[in-house]
Parts: sequence; structure tokens; C-alpha cells
Amino acid sequence: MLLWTTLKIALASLLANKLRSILTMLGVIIGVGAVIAMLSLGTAFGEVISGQIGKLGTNVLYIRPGQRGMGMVTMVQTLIPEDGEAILAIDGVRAVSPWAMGSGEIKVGNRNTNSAILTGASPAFLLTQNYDLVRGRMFADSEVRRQARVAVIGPKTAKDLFGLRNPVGQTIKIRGISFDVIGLLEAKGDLGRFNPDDQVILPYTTAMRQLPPRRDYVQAIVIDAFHQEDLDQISKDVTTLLRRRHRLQPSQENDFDVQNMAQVLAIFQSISLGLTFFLGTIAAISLVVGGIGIMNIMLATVAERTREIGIRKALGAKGRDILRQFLIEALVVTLGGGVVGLGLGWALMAVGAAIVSRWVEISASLQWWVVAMSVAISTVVGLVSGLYPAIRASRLDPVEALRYE
Amino acid sequence: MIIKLRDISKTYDMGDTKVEALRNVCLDIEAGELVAVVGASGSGKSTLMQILGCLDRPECGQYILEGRDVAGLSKNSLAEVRNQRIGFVFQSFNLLPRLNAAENVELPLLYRGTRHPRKQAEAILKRLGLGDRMHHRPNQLSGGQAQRVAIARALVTNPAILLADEPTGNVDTATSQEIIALLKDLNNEGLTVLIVTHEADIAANCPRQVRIRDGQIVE
Repeated sequence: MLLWTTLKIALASLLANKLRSILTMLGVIIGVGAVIAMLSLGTAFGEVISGQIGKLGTNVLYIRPGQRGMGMVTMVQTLIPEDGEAILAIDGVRAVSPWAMGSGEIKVGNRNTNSAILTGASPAFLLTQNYDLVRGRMFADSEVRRQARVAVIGPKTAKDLFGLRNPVGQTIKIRGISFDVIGLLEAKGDLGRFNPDDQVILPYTTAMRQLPPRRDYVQAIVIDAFHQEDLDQISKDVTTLLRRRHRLQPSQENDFDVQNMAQVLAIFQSISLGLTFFLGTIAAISLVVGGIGIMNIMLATVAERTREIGIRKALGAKGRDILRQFLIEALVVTLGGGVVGLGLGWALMAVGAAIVSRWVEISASLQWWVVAMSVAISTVVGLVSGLYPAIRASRLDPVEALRYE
Repeated sequence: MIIKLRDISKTYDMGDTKVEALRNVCLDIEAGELVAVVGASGSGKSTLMQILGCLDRPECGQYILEGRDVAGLSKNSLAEVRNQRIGFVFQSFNLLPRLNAAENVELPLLYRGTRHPRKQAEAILKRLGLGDRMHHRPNQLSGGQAQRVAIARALVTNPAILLADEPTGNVDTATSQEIIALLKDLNNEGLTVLIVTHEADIAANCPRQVRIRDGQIVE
């Protein structure tokens, strides 16, 4: 029998039992929908996490004062800019910048902003953070040495203070002290906890000595390495160096913590992959349940249509004709369910992404491999759940089947 | 000789007892004959019918259909023989309830892979006076109409033999006579027809009667 004819027969018998067909399909629709939504959202989250950590730089080590897990970094005041200068001598280190953080009101004429973060840094800071300038220039080492009152500002800060005007060449007042704006950063996008577009970068010397509270310690030192592979060795060398500089006894713990961003990224990536896999597995279980439902209904259908099978066989249907008819029925149910489930999954993904995007920028999209997988999964579910009932139908003895009431 | 049965036996295993449904049955049917197979229920006439219709295989013996031994054929080959050489008419019509008359009639052609089966189905329905019932479903047809659709379905493949198993069992007397008349007409046109029945007056319509009792042909 022609495949098209078999397909028509399958469709006709599915349409004859609309409610039952739809309920059976629902199992696949929900299963495929859940798998697609979970995998798409999981992948999108993974990308968000990688993207955010990637923005912080992956060739980079962060040194923070205090011990790992201590929340209040300012409690320990042992990390000083001179530590950074010493680190620059370590093999494989390309650049080092101290990082002194602060905040305060910034004014221009009658406009002001309180949200901007004040970052005291060295010229190498831009390199370590993958920042680019759209206008002007970064300050130079000489300006760091003489505590120059110059500032490079983020695009959001610039907009808050200057609107659409070019900020470079203008003057801003931080806590009453005038600074010349010499550069404008390129937009990076909000990172959630910290918005790099809303900051003012100053020479760290100026930030530490001229802005209250006056201090000689920093909140972090950022190290940029030439090669990512060297990060482990550099991390060990930095630890040895800083323990010596901070005169720590062998019995004392480190009063600083070296964070390797590549490691952090790897950890987050494996967490997000594991989570995606876990959620996908839970969703897949619902698909298995849907498949069992199809097999159940198909077995009931075969029993119910025993006489029909007998008639078809008497008229010359071979075992394989009957097998094909029932298998195609199961496939139509699962593939139909798969297509609708694809739509459902896409909708769930869009809704999920819309809700999450109130907190983080997320771009979830239906990827071709997810679509291909949903079609493949529905086909496999249809074949697996339809095969046994179809084989039972095809093996029915025509005499017995015709006698069936 | 269109059908030649030689020493056909068939036993059913009913748990602890074995029932010999057919014992060494020999039967010859010439092309163009109209034969009635009569016998009480349980006599073995249904089994004979199933074997003649290639729905079942005998344990031993020879069944030569149009010069070909079909007793030992595989299930698939039997399905082909049923499809191409045999037309069935059943007591309870056995039409598929979800298909209309034309769709029911074209069904055997679909299993044969015929390209445009609808035309042939419609032609045969018209020939049997059902031109205005093509798109009716079985439950919209009278008993007589339904049986004529079933006969049309049996004829559409141009079979060597038409096997009618109690074709008048589910219809009233008037309709019964109408159906027998139709089968006689078809026989007059040259078709070999075999009617299984337990009604003596139906059998009386047939020039040849084969009586079966306890699995053996008695006359």
C-alpha cells in the first residue's frame, strides 16, 4: 500500500476519535514543550553567566584583602598599591592595576549624580577590564605619580551629567574637588550587581590621597597575564610574594585571596551545564510518561479494532501493511504533539526570558539543534511506543480477528 | 478445474480436547459453478470456508487453486492470494463503519497498490445499483444495501471465486431473495460462486449442493 494512503487511513482513524487523540497528544506536547523550554533557558542562562564573567576578563587574577568568604573587604587594610608594583616583576604578568573603590556626589553645574562608582586605578586598568574608550584618552603613569585631577567616565555617568553633550574637556566636581574629564568609556552593559557604564575612573593616587576617606590601602589588585595557562603559576608566585611582603609567619593564614577568573568561569559553566542537564532530564521524564500513555492508548486501540484488522487482512492486507498503519498513527500523534510542543516550549521560553530579563539581560532564542532534537525525540517516542502495539496488531490471526465481537 | 481439495484435515486444539474440524476432505469445483455448502453449525463448514478463502492453512492435504498449490504458502503469500483471487461476502457484512460505501469497496485495491481505485469502486457500485449510495456510511444503508456494498467490494478485484458465508443470515426474507438473485446473476455472467448456508431453501437455488457433517463431505 502506498505510504500516502496509509497516512490518510491513520489520519482518518485519529480524527474519528478526536478527544482521545488530543489527550494522547497532550502528553507529548507537554513533554516536548518542557524539554525545549528547559534546554533553551538553561543554555541562555549559561551564556549570560559566561558573558558576564567574560566581561571581567579571563586572563585576569583578582587579589582581594582578607580571607576567602569574608564579606567586608575593608576590614583588612594590608593590601597596598606597592604590592601591585612588586607583582609587576613576576614572570608572565603583563599589567597590574590597584583598585580603590569609593563613592560620592558628582556635580556639573546644577546636575548631579550619586549612583556612579569612583574607581581609583592605574592606566593598565582598561586592559584588565577589556574596557575601550570612545572618546579622549586614558590618563598616563605620570598623571598617577603627580595625583592629577583627571577622570575617565562611563557612558551612563556622562549621560546623567552632560546629557548628549561631549563630556571630554568638561569639568566635574567630586565632593567639591574639580576634575577634568579626559575620556569616555564604551558602553558594556549592566552586570547586575555592578554597572561598569556608571563609574568614574581616577588615578588611584588621587582617589586615595585627595578624596575622603584618605587611605593607603586598596580594595583589590587586578593582574593581567599574557597567557591564560600561566595563571596558576602566577597565582602561586603572587601568594609567595605577598606573604613575604606582608611578613606572614608560616603558621598564619593569607591575609589576601587570589581569584582566578578563568577558574570561576569554568566552575559557573559546569554548574549551569549541570543545571540545564538536570532540568532537561526532569522534563524528559514527562516525555517518557507521555510515551507510555501513547503505548497504552495504542494497545487499547488495537484491541478495539481487532475486527477491523481482521477485515483488512481478509481483503489482502499483509502483516506489514497493518504494522505500518498503526506505527504511522503513533508517529502522527507524536510528531503532531512534537510540533505543538515546540510552539509551547518556545512560548514558555519567551515568558521565562521575559520574567528573568527584569533582573538580567538575557537573550533566549530557539536554536536549530533544539528544534531538530524535538523532532527527533518525538519520532523516537512514536516509534518506541507504537512499535509493540503495531506488532501485536500485525500478528493477529485473520480468522480469530474476524470472529472478535 | 478452479478448485481442487485433496485430503484436507484441520484440527483445533481446545485445551484438553482436540476437535477435528475437517477430516480428509476432497472437493472439486469447476469454473463457473454455483455451489452451496450446507451443514449444521459445528459441522466444519466454517473451517472449510476459511481454508478455501486462504484465511487459514490446513494441517495436511493439497489445495490447488487455479493450478497452484496454496496449502503451504506463507502468510504474506496467502494475503496476496486473498487480495487477488478471492472475494469474501460475510454474514455480518464486515464493512468498516468509518468509511463510506465507495471507500469500503476500494479497500482491497489499496492493498494491491492500484493507482486510481476510486473509479473502479464507483463503476462496480453503479453496476450493482448503488450509484446513489456511494457516499453513505454502512449505518446509513439498509441490510440489503450493505450486503450489496460488500458484494461490490468482493467483486472489485475480479476474483476467481466468490465465497459467501451465510450471506443472508442478517437480512429479512425479501432481501435474502434479492441477494441470492444477485449472486445467481453474477454466476450467470461466469463467476464461480460458493455459498455457505444452513438454510435449505437457499441451498435449493444452487445447481450443486455439498453437504458436510462432522468434518466430512457426505454428498
